[in-house]
Amino acid sequence: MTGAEAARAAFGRVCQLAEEHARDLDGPQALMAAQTWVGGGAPAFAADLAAQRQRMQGGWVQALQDIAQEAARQGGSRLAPPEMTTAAAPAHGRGRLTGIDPSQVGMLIRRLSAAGRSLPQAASLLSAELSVLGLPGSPAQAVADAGKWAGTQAGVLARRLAAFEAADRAAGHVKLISPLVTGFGLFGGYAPGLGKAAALLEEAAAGNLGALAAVLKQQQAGAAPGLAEEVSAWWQLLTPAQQKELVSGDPAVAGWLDGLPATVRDTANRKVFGADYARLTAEAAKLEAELKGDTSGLLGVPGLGSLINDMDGTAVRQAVLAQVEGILRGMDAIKAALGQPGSGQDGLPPVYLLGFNASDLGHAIVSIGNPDTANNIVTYVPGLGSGFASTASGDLTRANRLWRQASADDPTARTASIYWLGYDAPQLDLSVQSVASALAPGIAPGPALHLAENTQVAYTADATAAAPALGSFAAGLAAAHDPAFIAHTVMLGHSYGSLVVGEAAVRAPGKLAQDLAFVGSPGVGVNKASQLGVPADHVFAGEAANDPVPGLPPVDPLLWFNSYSAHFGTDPATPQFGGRDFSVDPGKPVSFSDPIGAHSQYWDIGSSSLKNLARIVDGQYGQVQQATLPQPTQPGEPGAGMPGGPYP
Amino acid sequence: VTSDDQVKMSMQVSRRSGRFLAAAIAVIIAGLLTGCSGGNVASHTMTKAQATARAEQILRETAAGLNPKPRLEVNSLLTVTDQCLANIPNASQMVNVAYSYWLRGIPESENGNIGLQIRSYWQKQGYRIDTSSGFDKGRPDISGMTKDGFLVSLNWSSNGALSIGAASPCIYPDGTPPS
Repeated sequence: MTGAEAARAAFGRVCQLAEEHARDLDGPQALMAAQTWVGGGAPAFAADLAAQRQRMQGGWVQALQDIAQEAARQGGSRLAPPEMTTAAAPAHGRGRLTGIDPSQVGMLIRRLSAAGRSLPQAASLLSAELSVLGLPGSPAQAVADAGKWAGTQAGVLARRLAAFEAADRAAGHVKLISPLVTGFGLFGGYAPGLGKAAALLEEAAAGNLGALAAVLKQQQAGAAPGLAEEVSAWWQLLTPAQQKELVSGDPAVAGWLDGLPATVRDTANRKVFGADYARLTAEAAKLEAELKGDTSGLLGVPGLGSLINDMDGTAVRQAVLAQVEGILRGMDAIKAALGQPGSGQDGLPPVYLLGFNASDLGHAIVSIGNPDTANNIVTYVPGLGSGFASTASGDLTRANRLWRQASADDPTARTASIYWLGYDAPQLDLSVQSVASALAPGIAPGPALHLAENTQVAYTADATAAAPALGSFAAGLAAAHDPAFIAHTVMLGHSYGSLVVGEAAVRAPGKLAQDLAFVGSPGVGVNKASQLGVPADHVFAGEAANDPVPGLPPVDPLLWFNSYSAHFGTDPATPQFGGRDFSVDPGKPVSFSDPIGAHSQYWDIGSSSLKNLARIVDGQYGQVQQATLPQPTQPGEPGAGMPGGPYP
Repeated sequence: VTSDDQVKMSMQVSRRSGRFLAAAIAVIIAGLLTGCSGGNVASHTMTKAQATARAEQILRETAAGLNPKPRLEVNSLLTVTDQCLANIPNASQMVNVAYSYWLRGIPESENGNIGLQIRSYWQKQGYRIDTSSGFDKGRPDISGMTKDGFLVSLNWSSNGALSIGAASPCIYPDGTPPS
């Protein structure tokens, strides 16, 4: 046989081999394209699959061209390589987020696995043919690489799918795989931008609690977008034993981890709560005993020690005791609201503790209703002076009242009303004296904390620090949400909390919530509703005529008498802001004894403010009453005030 | 921007400028006077039983004159005694009493008509009406206040039902500050 004949024969064999195997990755690619794969690592996986397939087909083409050239060089007739490359399947679209049938994933795994076996075999045959002809082996390598890739991926996916199915069986029901699990769980290795976090999660799964704490730290710092989704998928792929070990191992971390189910966070946080309550109660008792024991005092003179540079530590003890007792009062309020796990009280649904720690002024996230299965979820971010003291004095009651009103307005919806004290709120002294001295320094000297001394930069710092954590919390709500329930989300900021919401919205455009609502806002950090990442008609603001906070002077004195400038940007309840200004009863006027006037009246039962907030939570936008200016009283209509009309 | 809007905006401007100035002046004066002010601490209020009775009375009298006549059923979602949220002295010792009834047995087609009757009745009683809307769509909503400081409300629910509510101002449960 001449060289040309040998090349021609080899060409025929390789043609047949190529026809058998060049399409080995078409099946997997079609499966990826046919599904509404979303987010996480799925797009990157699909792209990698397409690239492997293309390189593999290119290998066959190259091999046949090389052989044809060799045949021609040996004096044989011209050989025409057949068409080997197949059209790429259409790129997967970003469709609706729907669950994915596990059997489809099983099919993908089987096809990849088959390619993982067939392609290396074909590659070794090809390699032999090329080697005999003295041609370069690189085309065979491309085929072999694609096969090896497919085999590896089939193994990884199979392990992850098995873990998911085991979790599913443990849960006692079979459900669709959520897009999140698909994106981050099954194709997790391909998720972009999570590098370090992904490695930490793997370590955490192996029981490394330090790694789990590091993940939480990344979440709170907003270090990796998509981390809450990744955590959610990761959690669902853990075995029940692994999950239990992490929750009991470090409940203080697990309780705050965004992406974990509300029930899991609740269990973890109640554990922390119980331990802290016991510890602080004991600490208070000890301090009280020590203070009582001091009645004799220094040199037998009661109180003398505290007078002389606090020699006996009485003053310090008293201060610490006051702080501990303040924290305990807040905890009492939380305890009363929580009731027994999983059961509601006073006509309310079960209450979930989604975050808790007693450090500093106290931090807690309390949800009335399970957010994971709710249709309407509102997260209320409190403002100036928030802490366990304000939790006890009414902030929790506000969340409670909003739940009641929203549920009354839409009895068919499942509502979750969340109180989010997940940040260190500025502790501004709003006493008459300090506000006055801030507004008129020199005339009315007051306590150390002054509005005027809180410069713009220092004063926005708390909100800037809080925004990533709030964003992560919101992403966690979305990630942990049961795909069987449609969720409508609202972020509500009161007072300084509206600046926190504003900053978080700017940080994650369109992802914080579908609707943003502000009441008693000193400004939200931007000058236009359209800068908040949601359509401007989903930005709502309410402002009582007698609330002095929106009228607090802007930092720049040039803007002081400008009607629409608030302390942190354009007042969101003015037409200049471009959002939807809803009606609020005028409320109590500012007075000597009450320098904040109507600032705390947005949750009054029966008030148009609470009712409008509830309409927003329920998504009943047509029922939200637009703010209008006071109208003159109509003759024959005593008491006619401001008949606010609904939005069109 | 229509001329109407401009008028509204300029009115808003003056409303807010005036408000800011008023607030600033008020607190400055208050600040100068502070140290001797602490606000008037209410020495006695209605008791919880009296507030409940008064709320019920407001609602029953409101319902009595309506045509068609509704059957009253307690709306437990909005019937609650909870914390006083006002920024007043002794707030932590006070409560807020809210009572609410569903107006049952009213055809949905009568909702707007019922809303108008209620608003008219409340106006005749001298209540301040803060907001009212939705009568023409059969989805009436009203918020107002009685002369003795009860917030009154008519509320439309998405299932077509109406409810009326009355919420007391902050009161001491026993009428006087707990000793």
